[in-house]
This record gives sequence, structure tokens and C-alpha cells, in this order.
Amino acid sequence: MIKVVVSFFVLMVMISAGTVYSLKETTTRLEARKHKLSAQILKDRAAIKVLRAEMAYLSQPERLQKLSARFLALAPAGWAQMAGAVNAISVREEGGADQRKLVSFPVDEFPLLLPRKKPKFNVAKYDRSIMRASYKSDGPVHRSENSVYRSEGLGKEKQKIITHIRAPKTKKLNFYDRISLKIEENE
Amino acid sequence: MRSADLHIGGVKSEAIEVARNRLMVPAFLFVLGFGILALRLVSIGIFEDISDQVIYGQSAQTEIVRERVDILDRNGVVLATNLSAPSLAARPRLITDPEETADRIVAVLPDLNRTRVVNKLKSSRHFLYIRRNLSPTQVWNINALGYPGLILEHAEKRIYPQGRLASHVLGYVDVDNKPQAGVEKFFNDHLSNTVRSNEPLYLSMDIRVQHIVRQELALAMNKFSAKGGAGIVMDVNSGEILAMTSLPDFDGNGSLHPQSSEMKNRNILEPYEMGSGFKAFTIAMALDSGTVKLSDEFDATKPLKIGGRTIHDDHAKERILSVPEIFTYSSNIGSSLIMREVGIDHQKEYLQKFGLFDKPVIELTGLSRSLLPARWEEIQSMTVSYGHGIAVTPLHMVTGVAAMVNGGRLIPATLIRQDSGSESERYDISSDISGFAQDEDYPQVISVETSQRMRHLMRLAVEYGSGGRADVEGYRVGGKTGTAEKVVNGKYSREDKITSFIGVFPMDSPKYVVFAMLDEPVGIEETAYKATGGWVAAPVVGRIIEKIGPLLGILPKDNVKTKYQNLILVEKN
Repeated sequence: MIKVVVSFFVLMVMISAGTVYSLKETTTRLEARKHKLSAQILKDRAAIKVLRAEMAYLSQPERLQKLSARFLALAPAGWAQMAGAVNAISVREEGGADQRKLVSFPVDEFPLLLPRKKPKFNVAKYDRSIMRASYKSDGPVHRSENSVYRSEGLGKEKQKIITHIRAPKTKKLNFYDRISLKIEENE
Repeated sequence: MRSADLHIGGVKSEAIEVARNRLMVPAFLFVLGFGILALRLVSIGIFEDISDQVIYGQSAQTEIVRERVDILDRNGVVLATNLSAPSLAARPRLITDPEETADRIVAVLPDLNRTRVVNKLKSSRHFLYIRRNLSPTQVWNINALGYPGLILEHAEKRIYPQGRLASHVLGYVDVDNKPQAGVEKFFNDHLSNTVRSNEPLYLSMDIRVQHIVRQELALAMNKFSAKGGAGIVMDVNSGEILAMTSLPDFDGNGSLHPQSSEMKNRNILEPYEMGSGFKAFTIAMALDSGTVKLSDEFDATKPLKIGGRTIHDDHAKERILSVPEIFTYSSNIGSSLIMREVGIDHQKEYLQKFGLFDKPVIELTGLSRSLLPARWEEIQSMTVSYGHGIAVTPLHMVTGVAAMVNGGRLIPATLIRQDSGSESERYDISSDISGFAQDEDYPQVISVETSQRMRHLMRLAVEYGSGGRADVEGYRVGGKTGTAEKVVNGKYSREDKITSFIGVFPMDSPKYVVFAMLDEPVGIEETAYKATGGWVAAPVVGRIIEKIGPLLGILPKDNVKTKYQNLILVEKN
């Protein structure tokens, strides 16, 4: 009995000694690896720092502005491009593409002068007398209606006009035809 | 063995008995020992398992490059950082062939003088430096040479990747990385703390806004051949400075001359007479003290003679003016008359409350006090009412005007990013006046009602007055121009002027104060050879707002009605 017990204990001691040894060995190895890793992390962090500095240097606003002006067709965002909500942008139903008024369109390669009404002498324009500011019809701020819609509309109208002119171009319009066409379109 | 045991008896059995008893002692000791070990094992396992990790964690927190902490802008863009830049040193005794070594070193570092390097390598000293602050490529090349006599010593260099952009705010460090000015100096305790090397300092600056302000100021300076310029953009509800620029400026990476004029931050270091911009304070105190009503009228038909001096109007209307008109048309006579109503005591009290008598508050060193009149009697109080005879720094001005439009709370300027909370929403002007919570943290300088009136008056000054060129479609800009003659040899000079514009936008719910100042601009043909605040500084502020408005997410609005228009007479055309 004792023999069995003793041999069992001896075996246990040997196994546990072996386990402890291997544990210690593994721990040491892991420790070494951990040190290596954390040293590597520190090195990487230092390298990231260099990269960050370089990125900040390369993305200096002044430099980006120059590059953008040279290579991109982008302009700074203007006030007319800002909208508070999606509803503020999509107003197609009321505005209606065909209700937009055309500002100008290229009839041909050369500018065309149309006869205009003689300007009337406006007395109010030369009136220097003093009045209350609140009666002024519109202040200096409110200069135009929304310029976005106007330019957007222009593109479509332009295309329409161009196709309109291109179609009968086979028989080559003469000068007066073109004028009458333009007046017609203008109405 | 067992069969033999049965036959043992007598003396032998006694001896075995003794041996057994003796065995009990070591057995007990073994049990005790292992018991302690087991207990310790359990206690370590349960109670002390973190200690090792703590040490590990700390060792990972300290960086290789850690002498100074990084400075970032509010969006995390690097403004200042430390990079490893080793110094090249040599042990001449370990170098066998100085001539050849010197040749190789000069090949890597071409700006070194070969003769000097040879002399150094031939010297009998133990250790000497050849060159400070090598770049990573140079370090690699020196290592590739493989000379044991050459040593790369760990050293760090402060780098400002944005160059000149925010130089006056950041300040700079000397060769030994000792801070000499700016944020670097003010926050040195944090910045030089190696334990906190992982906690970068977030400034309130926005590098994009800073660039826009600097660029526009530089353009205007060039256009009007001005000697210098200053610009500030500040959040009125939190006091955060988004941009602060002073021209000419310097590059913190280059060689610096601490005494030269480019090193001074005009925003905090030099008090200037602000001219008409000061009328905003005059009107605010008159309305707030209740001595003057908006509809009151003052006679500005003739120049005002007082104590042997005459006060003129620059844009004389030569008629009776209401209070909004005095502000809009910038009438010196009118504001002097208002000040006569308000009285010297009230004037001093309010200027004190606006913080104009103390040093400005901001996290920078080298702040300057205002220059106040030595005697403060009626004539001085009148000149002070339109910004002459009193000199304040631009930061004073910006902080004061921010308090004037944000509901009357004097919020000190700060360069540190604040946690964005519901602050701005709480003080939204579109809500009713009763929605304004009186904030205990900040002193209430003027009442909320006066603050609202001032907003409308400042908007009127841009709509109808001298600040028209600062107007930006959609952004409801308000503000006040200022033109002051400089004192040269104790006399006011006719030619040399300080022109400024203090703008606020959007006026129906102010968010930002934008200030621009130009030192000694010269009128050009485009401005009809005038160099006043309206011609020179106002367009700068206008262009700045035009660019930063969309950037900062301010929603453009049309047709915001300004009050008190009925009190203003304008020319019909």
C-alpha cells in the first residue's frame, strides 16, 4: 500500500515539477515576446508620429489650396450650396423646370444684339432726399433670388435650345431666321 | 518488506517507532511549507493578479519620443510634435582613418565643412558632437557607414508641421526644447510631463479657419501696403478662439530672432486706439444704464467745441441724429453727447465690467494692459466714447464685443477646446428672451435686452452704415468699423492709421466674432485713396465670413428683418 502511495506521490511530484518548469519556461518566453512586442509598439508609435507630422505638413491648407487650384475644378463652398434640410433642396413640384426663366443662351458663335426699349428717365434714381430705412423696398443684402435654381435651369434650357437649332440646321438658317427664332424662344 | 515487518519486535520495533516519530517532524514541516505555498498561490491568484499588468501597461505608455507632448487643433490636426532627431557624435580615439571617415560623413551631410570634421576627428578628446538633429534618412545613411567610432545619441526636435500658420499662438522652443513663448510656455507643465506624453493638448483653434484668416489678412496687407495685421475669430458662446493670427509672423522651425517685430503677437501684446469700434461700448452702456433711449435724438449739426478742443464727424450728416443713426453713421459728436448723458462714473464702471481695465484673459504669456487716460474728465470721457485716448488690445475688443452680443455674459477667451455641450443651444436667440438662463459662471455685464438691441444696431451699421463692405449674402453680418489715427511723436498723425473691423455673424443668433485690423494701410485707387476701416478692414472680414460660414456649418438665411430701421434716415436711391 505504502509503495503504491509513495510511488504515486513521487509521480505527482515529478509531474508537478515538470508542469511548473514548463510553465515557467512558457512564461519567460511569453515575457520575452511581450517585451519585444511592446518595444515594437513603441517604435511603431514613434514611426506613426513621424507619419502624422508628415501628413500634417503635406496637408497644410495653403499647399492644398494651391494644388486644388491647379489640378481640381473645385471651388470653395458658397452660401447658396448650404441647406438646412433635405426639403429645402427638393422643391421641383412648385418651381417646375419649365417655369424657370432663361437668363441668356448662346444662339450662335457670335453675340447677337437685340433692339431694346429705350431706358426711361427714372426720377427716383437721382432723388437724393432722405427717407426712413424701413420704407426702402429692399435693403442692400437681398440681392437675388436663389442662384442655384437659375444656373441649374440654364443647363437644361441650353440643351433644349441647342437641339432645337441643330435640327433644322441641315438647310442652314439665314440671319433673319435666326433672329426671329431667338425672339420666339425668348417669349 | 511487508512479510519482514511482521517479525520485527523488541528493540528493533522501538527504534522504528522512534524513527516514525522523528519522521513526523519533517513531514509536518513539509505540510506546513507546502501549505504556505498553496495559500500564497491562492492569494496571488486572487488578490495580486493585476500588479504585473500594471507594470506592463505603464511601460507601454511611455513613448520613445516623449520629451514634449503634441499640440493638436480642435479636429486633431498636428500643430506641434516632437520627432526623434538623433545627434551625431564621435569618439575620435576609435577612429583609425579620420580623413576617409570625414569624407564619408560629408557625403551624407553635405552642409558640413570637411576641414572642421577632420579636425574634430583628429582631436584627442574622448567625445564630441559633430552635428545636432539628423533626419531619419541621414540616420540610416550614417548607420550604413558602420563606423564604431560614430555614435548616434538620442535627441528630440520640436517640429511645427504647419510652419507659419499658427506660430504666434503656439510660440516656439529653443535649441534645448525649452519653451519661450505662446501655448508652449503657458502649458509647459503639461507639455513637458513625460508621464503624460500620451495625452496631446487639444487647442480650440481650427487650422482651416486660421488659414483663411491669415490668407485674407495677408492679401489685404499686401494690397494696402500695411505694416502689419491682426485677426481673431472667437466663438461667442464658449470663448473658444478658432483663429488668431498676427502678421508678419515667423516659422517656429527656422532660426528665430526673439527681439524682431515679427515675433510679437499684436493681438495681445500691443494696445491700440480702436477708434469708432469703441462706440459699441458707449451705446451699450448708455442703453443698459437706462440714461438714453433708442429713440432719443442728439444734435450733430455742428462740430462740438469742448475744453478748447473740437470734435468733428468723419461722415458728417449735419442734422439731428437718433441713437441708431449715431451708431450706424459713426458720429463722434453724437457719441460724445451720449457720453455726457451717461456720465464718467458709469463709463468707468461699464468699461471695468467689460474687462477693459485689466489684462485680457487667455492662455498666453506676455499679455498687455490697456492704456487709459491719465486724467479722466469730461473731455477724456468724450474722446474715450469714440475710441480715442484709450488703447486696448484686439483681444480686449473681441472679448468685450462677444459679451455684448451673446446675452451679456463676459466669457473669458480660451485656447483650449471645450467639450461641446448644449451651451450654444441654450442661448439661441430665436427662442424667447425668457429662455435665456442667467449663467452664474460668468459675470453678467449688460442685460439680455440690451444685448439684443446691440445685435440689431450692429446689423444696421452693416446694412446702412460704414461697414457695408463686410456684408455677406445670407450670413447676416453685423459689426462696426474703426479708424484711429496713430500717435507719432506724441501727436496724432494724419496719414498713419489703424483700421479695424469687428464683425459678428449670424446676427440673429450670434455664433462668431471676427476681428480684423490693419496697421498703417495706404489708400489705393480702388478705395478712392481712402484707408478707413470701412474700405480696408471691412472687406477682409466679409471675405473671411464668406469662406468660414459654410465651413463652420452656419445656415444661410434670407430676409431676416432688422429692428429699429424706422429710426434710421437713409438717402433715397
